[in-house]
This record gives sequence, structure tokens and C-alpha cells, in this order.
Amino acid sequence: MSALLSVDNLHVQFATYGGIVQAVRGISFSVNAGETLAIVGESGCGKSVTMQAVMGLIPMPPGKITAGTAHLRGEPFLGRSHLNGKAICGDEIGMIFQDPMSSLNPTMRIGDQIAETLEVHRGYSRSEAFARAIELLELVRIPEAAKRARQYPFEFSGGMLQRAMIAMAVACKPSVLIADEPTTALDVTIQAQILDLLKDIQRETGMAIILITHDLAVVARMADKVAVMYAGQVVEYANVDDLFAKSSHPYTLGLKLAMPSKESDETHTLQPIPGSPPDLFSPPKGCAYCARCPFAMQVCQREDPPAFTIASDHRSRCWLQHPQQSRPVSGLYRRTDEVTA
Amino acid sequence: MSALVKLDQLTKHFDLGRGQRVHAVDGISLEIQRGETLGLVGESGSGKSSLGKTLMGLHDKTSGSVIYDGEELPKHYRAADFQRMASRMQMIFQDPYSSLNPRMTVGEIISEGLRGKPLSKAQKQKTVGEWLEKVGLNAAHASRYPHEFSGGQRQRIGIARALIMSPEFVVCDEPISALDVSVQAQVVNLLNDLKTSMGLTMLFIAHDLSMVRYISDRMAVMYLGALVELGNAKDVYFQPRHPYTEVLIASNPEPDPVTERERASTTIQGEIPSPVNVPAGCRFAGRCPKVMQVCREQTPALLPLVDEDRLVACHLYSQ
Repeated sequence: MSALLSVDNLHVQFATYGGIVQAVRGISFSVNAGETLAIVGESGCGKSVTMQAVMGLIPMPPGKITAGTAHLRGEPFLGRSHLNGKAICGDEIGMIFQDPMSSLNPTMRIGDQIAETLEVHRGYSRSEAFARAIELLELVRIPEAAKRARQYPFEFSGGMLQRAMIAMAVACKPSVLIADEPTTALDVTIQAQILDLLKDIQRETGMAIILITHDLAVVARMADKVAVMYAGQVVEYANVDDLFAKSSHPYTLGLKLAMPSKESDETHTLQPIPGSPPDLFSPPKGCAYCARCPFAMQVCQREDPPAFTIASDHRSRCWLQHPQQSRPVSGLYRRTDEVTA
Repeated sequence: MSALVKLDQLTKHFDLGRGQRVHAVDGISLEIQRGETLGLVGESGSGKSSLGKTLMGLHDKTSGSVIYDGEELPKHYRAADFQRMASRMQMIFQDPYSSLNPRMTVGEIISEGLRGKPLSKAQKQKTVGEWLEKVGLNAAHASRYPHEFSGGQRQRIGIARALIMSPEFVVCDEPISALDVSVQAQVVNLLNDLKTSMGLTMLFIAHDLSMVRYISDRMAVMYLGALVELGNAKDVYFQPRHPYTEVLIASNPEPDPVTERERASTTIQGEIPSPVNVPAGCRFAGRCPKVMQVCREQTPALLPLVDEDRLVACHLYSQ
């Protein structure tokens, strides 16, 4: 079984005046057709950079992919702009961004912007492409699509713009859609509409979605698989149920306890994660989460933990998951839990 | 408990010219009790921030009144009014990046409110240092500039600037929406601790329903400039009565995949209409799944429910 898109051991760094920033430090994940992978993490953890690297959108220099591979249907494509005659960016992989207001061209009509994709990648004529753009606007449920296609971005609300962005991203029927914080700027009611729309399109076309977000509630609603990122690494990788029910990394646990839930309402305490993420100019020698981790041990400062296998398709980069580690930790799921239970 | 702040038919319209008016806040009456946290939620464009700013005197009132501790506040604030009220009510702003002057040091920003007070320079410096420590920063940070801090740290500076005046009442306008989840909890806990130690009364404006449920005693829901529901925060969240509150809460995802899989996709269609020249009748009628004929004709009043500590503005309950 080979995954639709897989990324292995990706490293990305940026040269800046302050030194070299190691933004992504060895990331691996894979996603199958029709599946949604969520990538969760705080700002600055490298989640957007990972996706930009996959899309070939990293400006080089200052950026540099120092190691790693990415495969689409088993074929390597990192560093290439085309695969089997199809462009990676926009044709094989579509992308939608966080801020639709600033990602669209304010001087072009919405319909023309969608049509442009089809003209470039599919060689449609202008009028063919524009007609198809109207159909796409209908697909994303924009009322009066023919009229709306002739309007400019400033005439659209934030939710409508995000729909137009989705129309543009799915215009060439990509096999993978990368959604970078697609609903962060939107109200909950509009967020629910956009998330439902993405699910519906996925059901119809069978595309894979990679959803980048910082909101665990959105993850719970959308994802099949989840990669939790911290300081340029995937610290926990699991299917969505295991991630919530069997959280195996202290950072995942910390994120869960920092959000209001039905339990925290009763105890009336949120448990924030103290401190802030490490400086990626000089990443710590040991575990990057060590300084903020309530369960940190001596080994955590000395050595970076490898990814321990908790179950098939469930990995955690934490020394507490070492088979010889038996220190009890409340709330954290351990592989040994099942053996003793 | 006695009411510290009382709004009576508070209205704020913005004139666009050519007979067009934005009904940002439209006849809102409510009381905020001493020592309570009132959460205010609604979609963007519902007038939450305008309400906060009008209440603070940052916007002139179009009509209606704000009674603060028994005293009616002026319709139009003059410099002297701001100075007089500054030590009693304060505001914490949404965007920690644009609400701090980049040319002032953190010490200058925080101590600005103390300018008129009869304190020596050394005393002021000491107070600033104490406040920096209280919000979890370092007294030595006073000489730094805002750009040297992260978003969460800047929000702490904004909190220190507001609370150094030892106010009784604070309006928090989306204080956490620009922050990461782990930092949100830090700031919310800080606000809660300070609220307890200083005996603050808070109006907490936010669009994050889960966080408002967590932090507030009572929750008020606003739609297009008017209140639609008001009651105990947890009751409003878990047993919403107004159709708009129901929709809002049904759209709010919970961090639990099991709950989410069972959630019916009953999302509301359409978007919040423009608050320019609001039509007659219930403002929510155009999007309401339970709309009736009467809703399009008469504006429902905010009335208490029988047997329940809840105010709802909906014709479904007006028998």
C-alpha cells in the first residue's frame, strides 16, 4: 500500500542576518486519497513552512531544503515544478490560505482569478475558463454565481472570499488540497459552513486534505489523522481518536488542558503551558519541549528522543515512551498501559 | 449584589451620509453587577466592540445612558471626563500589536496613566516594576520597546497598563483572540487571578464561545446591534433558548472527536446582514430556522422567561 502523498525526514532552514533558523527538523507524514490529515501546532512551529516546502513555494535563498524526500503516488517530486506533465503547484496540489482578503488580487474580478488557473494549467480559452469559473462558484455555493464572478474581492465578505479561494484551489481537481488555517479569520457560524463545504467536496472528488490549524476543536471535527508539531518536529502522530483519547506526548496533553472543556468548567482551572517555544536559531540539544514539560527528566535535556511506536500508526517523540521507562505520569497514555490492563 | 454599570437603551449609530446609518448598538439595556464577569458574544459586525467603546466613552452616545455607580456618564466625553473616569474604568484591547505605541518604552506605556498623580519619579518606577512582575514579566523590561515582546507578552503589557490605575471596572475587548492556545490560557488565568485579588468587575467581549463560557458568570448574546439572550453563562451555553444562540453554539466545535462525529451538520445558511438601515421586525428573521409571520412584522422585546433566570428576545416565548 502506498500513500497518495508522503513526506519523509524533511529538513528546511533559512539563512537570516541573525543566523540560520532550522524551521523544519525532520518531518515525516503521509496521507491517502479521501483522507484528512491535520497538522496542529503553535505559531512558529514550522507547520506552514512544511507545506510551502511541499508546494515548492519556499524562496531559495534564503530558504534551503537540506534533507528529505516527498513522493506523490510513489514518485519523488521535491524540487521539481512538474510531475508527468502536470504542474505540482495548482494542478496536482491546490492550496488555500488563512487570509483570503490578502491572498486575492484586489484589481482582478473574482471570476477572472479563478479562470486564470484553468487557462494556465488546462489551456482553456478565456471564455471557456470564465464559464467554468461560474460553475465552480456554484459548486462552492455562492448564490448568483454569474453576477458574483464579475465582482471584485472588496465586494465579497470574508466567508465568501474563502469560498472563492476554495473554488480556485479545486479548479484543476487536485489530488491533494492544502488548507492553511482556512477558518482562523472567520466567525464560528461561517467556519462551520466552510468546514462542511470542504468535507462535501472531499466526498465528491476523493481528494486528500491537509489541514493546518492551531485549533484542536477544528481537528476533532475534520481530521482522520493528526500530526502535532512542535519546534519543527512532529512530536505525536496518531489517528484522531487515539490522539484525543490516548494522548502520548506531554505537549498534546498540555494543549488539551489549556483549552476550556466540560471538565475544566467544573474544576474551573485551565492549565496553561508555561513559557514559550524554543529559539530555532539554536535548537536545544535534547527534547525541544523539555523546558516547558512538567514531566521533564535528565535524559530529556541531554538527548533528543526518537519517535517511539505506541501502536501501529501512532508515534510519540518522548522519552517517557521508552520501553524501560516506568515512571508513572498522570494523564499520559503509555504503551505499557495496555499490557498491565 | 448591586449593579455597578447600568445601560439604559444605549444606542450608537454611525452616520454614513445620504440618509444611511449603521445601527451598531441599538437600544441595549443591561446591568453589570459588582464583581461579576459578563461575557458578550456574537459574530463580527454584531456591535460587541462598539458597545464596549460606547460604554467607555470612546464613542459618543447617540441616545440612551450609561449609569456608573449611580452617576450618569456624559453623552460626549471631554478630556476632563476621561481623566476623572480613568481611575475607575479601563479597557484592554484586542490587537496587542497595534494597541501599544512602538515609540514608547514599556515603562512609559504602563506609567502613562499615572501622569497626573502626585507621585515621585522613583515611586512611579517602583509601581511599574511591581506591575510588570504581577503580570508575569520582569521589572527590568520597563526600558524595552514593544517590538521586543511576543504577542502574549504584549497582551500582558496591555493588562498592566489598564490595571495600574486600580480600576473597578474593565472592558476586555477580545483580549485573547490574537494569541496561541497555550498562551490564551496563561492570559485568561492571569485575568482571573487579578480579578479575584482586585475585586474587578469585567465585561469580557469575545467570539470564542468556549472561553466565554469558562470565564464568565453571565453571558450576553448580541446580534446586529441588539441583545437576543442573557443569562447564566453555562445555562446559556448548554440550554440555549434563542434560535440564534442555538445556531451559534451548534457551530462551535468542541475538542472531542466523538462529539464532533455525532454533531448534525445543521449549520446556518447565509451571513450576518449589513447593519445599515436595519429592517423592521426581528433582526434574525432572515436567517432564523424557526421564523414565523409575526417575526417579520414586530420586533421582539428582551423579556424574562417564566421559571428561569433568563432574558430572551424571541416571539417563540412571548405568550
